Amino acid sequence: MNISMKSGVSTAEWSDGPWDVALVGPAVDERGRAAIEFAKSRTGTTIVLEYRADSFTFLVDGRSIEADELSTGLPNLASAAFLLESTTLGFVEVFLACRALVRAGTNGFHLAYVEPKEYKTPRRREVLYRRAFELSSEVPGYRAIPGAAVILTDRRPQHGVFFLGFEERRLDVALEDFQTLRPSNCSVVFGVPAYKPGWEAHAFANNVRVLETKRLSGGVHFCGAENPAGAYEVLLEIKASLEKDARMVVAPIGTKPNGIGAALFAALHPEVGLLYDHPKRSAGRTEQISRWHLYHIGL
Amino acid sequence: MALTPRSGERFRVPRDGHLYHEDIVERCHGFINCGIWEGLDKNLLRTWLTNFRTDEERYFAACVLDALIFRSEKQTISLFRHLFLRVLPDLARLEPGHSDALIDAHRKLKRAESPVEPGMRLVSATKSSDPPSKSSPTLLRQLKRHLQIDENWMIKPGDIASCLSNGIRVFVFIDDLLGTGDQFKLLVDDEGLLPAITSSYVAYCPLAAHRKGIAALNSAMPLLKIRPVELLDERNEIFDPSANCFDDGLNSAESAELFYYELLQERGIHLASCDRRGYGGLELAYVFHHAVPDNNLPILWWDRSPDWKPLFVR
Amino acid sequence: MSTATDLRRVFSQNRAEELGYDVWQHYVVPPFYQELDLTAARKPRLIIGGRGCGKTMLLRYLSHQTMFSATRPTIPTDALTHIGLYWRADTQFASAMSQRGIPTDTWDAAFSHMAAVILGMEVLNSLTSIASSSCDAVCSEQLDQLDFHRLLVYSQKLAPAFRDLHPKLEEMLWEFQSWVNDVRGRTQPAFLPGSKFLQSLIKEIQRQIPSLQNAMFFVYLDEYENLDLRQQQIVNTWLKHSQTPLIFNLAMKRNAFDTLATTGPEALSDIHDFRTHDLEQDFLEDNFPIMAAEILLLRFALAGVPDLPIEPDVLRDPEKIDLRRTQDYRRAAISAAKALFPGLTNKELATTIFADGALSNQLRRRIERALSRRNGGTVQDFFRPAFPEASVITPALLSRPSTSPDDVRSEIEKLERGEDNKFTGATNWIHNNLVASVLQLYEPQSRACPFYAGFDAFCDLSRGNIRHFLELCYKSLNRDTSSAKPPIPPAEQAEAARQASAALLREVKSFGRKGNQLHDFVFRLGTLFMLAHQRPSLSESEQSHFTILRGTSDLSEEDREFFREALKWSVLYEYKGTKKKSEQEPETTEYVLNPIYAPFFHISYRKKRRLEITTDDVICLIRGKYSEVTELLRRYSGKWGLEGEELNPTLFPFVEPDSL
Repeated sequence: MNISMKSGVSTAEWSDGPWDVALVGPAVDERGRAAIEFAKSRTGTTIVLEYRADSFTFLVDGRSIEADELSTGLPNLASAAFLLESTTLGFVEVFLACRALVRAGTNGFHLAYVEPKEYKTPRRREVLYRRAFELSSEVPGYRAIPGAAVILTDRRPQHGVFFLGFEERRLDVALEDFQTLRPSNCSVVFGVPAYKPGWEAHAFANNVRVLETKRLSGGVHFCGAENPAGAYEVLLEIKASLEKDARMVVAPIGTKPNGIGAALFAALHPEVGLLYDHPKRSAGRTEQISRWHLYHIGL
Repeated sequence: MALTPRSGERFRVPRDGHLYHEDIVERCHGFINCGIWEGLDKNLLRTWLTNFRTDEERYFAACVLDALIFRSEKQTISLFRHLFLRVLPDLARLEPGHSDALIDAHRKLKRAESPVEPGMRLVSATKSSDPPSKSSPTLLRQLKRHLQIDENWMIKPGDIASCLSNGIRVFVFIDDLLGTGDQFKLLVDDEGLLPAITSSYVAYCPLAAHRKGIAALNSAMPLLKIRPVELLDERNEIFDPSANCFDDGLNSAESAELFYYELLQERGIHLASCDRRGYGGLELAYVFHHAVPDNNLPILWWDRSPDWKPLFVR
Repeated sequence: MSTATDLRRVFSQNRAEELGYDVWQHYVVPPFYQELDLTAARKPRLIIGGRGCGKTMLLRYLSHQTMFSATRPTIPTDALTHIGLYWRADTQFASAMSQRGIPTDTWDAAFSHMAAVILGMEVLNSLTSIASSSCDAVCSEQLDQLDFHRLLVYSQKLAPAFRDLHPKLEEMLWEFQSWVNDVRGRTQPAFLPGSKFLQSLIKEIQRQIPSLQNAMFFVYLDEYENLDLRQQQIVNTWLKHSQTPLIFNLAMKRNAFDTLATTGPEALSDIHDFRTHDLEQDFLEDNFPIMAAEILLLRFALAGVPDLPIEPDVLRDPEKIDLRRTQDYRRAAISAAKALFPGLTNKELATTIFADGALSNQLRRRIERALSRRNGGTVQDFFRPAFPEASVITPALLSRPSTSPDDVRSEIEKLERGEDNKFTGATNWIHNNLVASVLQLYEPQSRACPFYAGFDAFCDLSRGNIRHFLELCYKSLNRDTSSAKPPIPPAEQAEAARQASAALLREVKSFGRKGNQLHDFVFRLGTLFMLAHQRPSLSESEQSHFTILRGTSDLSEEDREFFREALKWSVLYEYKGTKKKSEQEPETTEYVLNPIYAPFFHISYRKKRRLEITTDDVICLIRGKYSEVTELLRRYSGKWGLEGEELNPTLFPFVEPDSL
């Protein structure tokens, strides 16, 4: 498997495409709308894909299908050229789509991602809340993803890997809820370099309290925040360092590109479990567009 | 409802400033304990904090610490990986030429049982006259150790000529910070590198670069391809309003800057005009575990006054 | 000799999960332990408590790993009649066992199977614990001779030998996991029949090891509320049909019992089928100070501090609870705790104002401002360092239309002369107004008020939450500026309380689905109370709780659900009201903000006067936009006569910068 990546200030820099099928999600902001427009402009068919965590189903262009049967809802997985618009698609959609493509035996596919220029911090002037972010309105909580569900237990060595983002609650909830995941067996990954130098401090500041109080000691790792290949490499390294029968559980609660790396890793290593909390993204949480990224996965 | 600070107002501690200071100090200790800021000396942090005696000084220090970017060794290695995975491939695509060597560069440069000529060289940004303590060789050592780069493909500027005569056309300069560009210009002059820059494919890829330095080098040597891993601008300059370091509803970047000058004066940190804010007036708080560029605010590294203890030792 | 580091270390571990399953060394048996009657019980128990009230610690204490701990010197003979099996269901995995095009009864059987496998392994583990303990009922040779071939009727994949059965059950668990992940692609494994399997397993053990013939097993299912509804119904069914030798017990947060239904026709009945113990409500409120003192002193003992009025071995032993019930013992323990974390008397609190330049200036300014709106009197009339308590409350008195400056002055003079007066006499001005006045003076600089210091204050702030209590102690000991050797100065404790309060407030975001909304609500409500505390007249002082008055809108179902969440996570507590202020009130429920957030908002942690808020305002606080909330706060500020200098400019920290 190889991942090649390109970025640009606008999509005019790329001549890639056209693709046969684009998978997109609903747009909550300008970025999402621009991303979908790009996808539509270079694709034959656009399919809107939305995962519903409560019922383990997908809405595929409004039609409901079981998550376990996603591949029946997507056309020509093995032969068509796919573009996954990952700005608007959620993590679960990306993961299950990647898995379906891998299982169908495709040669490769593309993913697109649009970086935000700013994240909103309404409380900036209150010094204690300088780095408070409201990125999700409601977080249903950790629910299994069919296909990557893992029984968390201390009967067998398990190692958790958390990709961390701006919201501290997500790591806190995971560790509070899953007490069989021993903190000594949990690693964290921060996005450095971040989208902009200094943004990583939001992730550092908002997670350090939990890291300290819960005493995570499985190691701190870093990889580029907009770098799926970097994320994939970190996961490979961690996996190589584990005991033979240890199970790896990955929680992609950081950036979307790191989530893409995690999704690919889980799709290609079926014994790896995923922990995800399905946040509902708040509208208007980000402003404007910074850079565009196109990733090609060659299988 | 709230006040808009008028210029000329003194720097003051806002509501909860006291708690904020404690929070930030606790946070910094947390960063060190958890390994996020591995390599930052806790004792130096403690003694640096004793420099700040009044409530206003302590609050000011907290704002600076809040903005501080410290690149530990692990973070630095991540920046290097990013260089090979993202920066060089994008460079090759946007500035074609002899750039094929840059594609898959890491694999080509890695140590192998039977080494194959990669068609490019990594160059340390050190002048022959520089002391051994300059940071660029340290960076190359890290590349060798952590990214398994074959040291045969790592050279000094003085070796460029002989590489050229052996048919190598692609050179990537490795450095930690490009600030004003003055140092690199000096390097190019001293080592006579301009002809090589003009005639072959020379890239300068510092781990971090300030936009001002990039602009300066672009105008001096337009054919040099500059691609940093991290791009710094006004938002990383401590006293620029867009950095929001002092945006607390009570103070302004301006009042903070005036307060800062008074502090320097009082403590015997005597520097000329814009150098009070770091070389080139860049006002940075961006430090590597192995090097403290002098573009950073002197309060972070000044060790020549008996009344001031540095946080970082240069 | 203990060092500061040792103390910090023993106080930093305040979570059950950090201690593992064997908590014998650390657990202080609560004074109400015998009332819980857990070990003798045959009826299932429902144990209710929020995070930090000791629920998980108690369950771990009751589990076989602790009851038969290798470090436990002697084990009572009746211990075998209570073998605890702790099970914290992996609810994220369990969530995948629903819908997905698979029939409900298949998932029902799957869930029971999972329980059988996991609890089966726990039963076997418990035998190993017993054999390794000082209990001589079972030795490991006897375990090796166990023959479970009769169980193979349930599945050929099981193994007859004791040492082989556990690994086989484990394999079944992983096979089960693979099937759940790929229900379409893999063959469904044969399911074990839930509690029937467990009953059979236990019966075999009882039959083959005579000393265990009366062994009883108690399952403690923790965090039941995180299972989905159908799974809860299955568990309810086990509860309803619990019988020896296997009794099911549940633990959950308050307000978390979503359904009493079972999978059969009869629902659970809370009188017949189980007994409830609300750890916070029934017990901790009366016993908390002594429990807190004992836990505190045990930690100090573990750090090597000598001469403490407690014995670790006595604290750990349920047989020795009576030794800890005497008045003398309680007095000694609580005094020792107070000596380690001293607080300030009201007089000392008032004196701190005069001892600090900024605070005494604040007092002068407030007196001046109050006088500027009245006739007569100078600041010096009321600013009297010799009578700090009286002086401190004068700004409030002078702001009341009903009290003239002359009245106040004459009462101070009576006080000076030692005559009966309204400050200390029946009217008791000082008693009613001192705390609120002191808080008011500390607030503008956002300084930590020593009102939050002291063992008593820490108990009140924690309100039965041991974790909060230990957090306050830990932060006090951990402060850079203190030598961390007791006694800890009140000023340091107050700062620690503020820090702990701020940290615990941030944690609200992680409280379930509505965490972000709960956090905003606490912030808004806390700010409203903060404003109330700034009222110049303090006519209603120390308002830290509220009742709801009927307004033009009604609370929606979603709003009521939100209240239930707030109660479940102990962000709010509810009380039946004391007295109705007016006939408008439809209900008399009072809602108290968790006192641990009081230091952050500079408000009182005591339950004194209540604030009446209309439904419309409550709805705004729960789900109003930023602009609506700012408008609400401005309205109250106006109503309470707060203006200009009384309001710190950054008082509305959540306001969007653009709208300022």
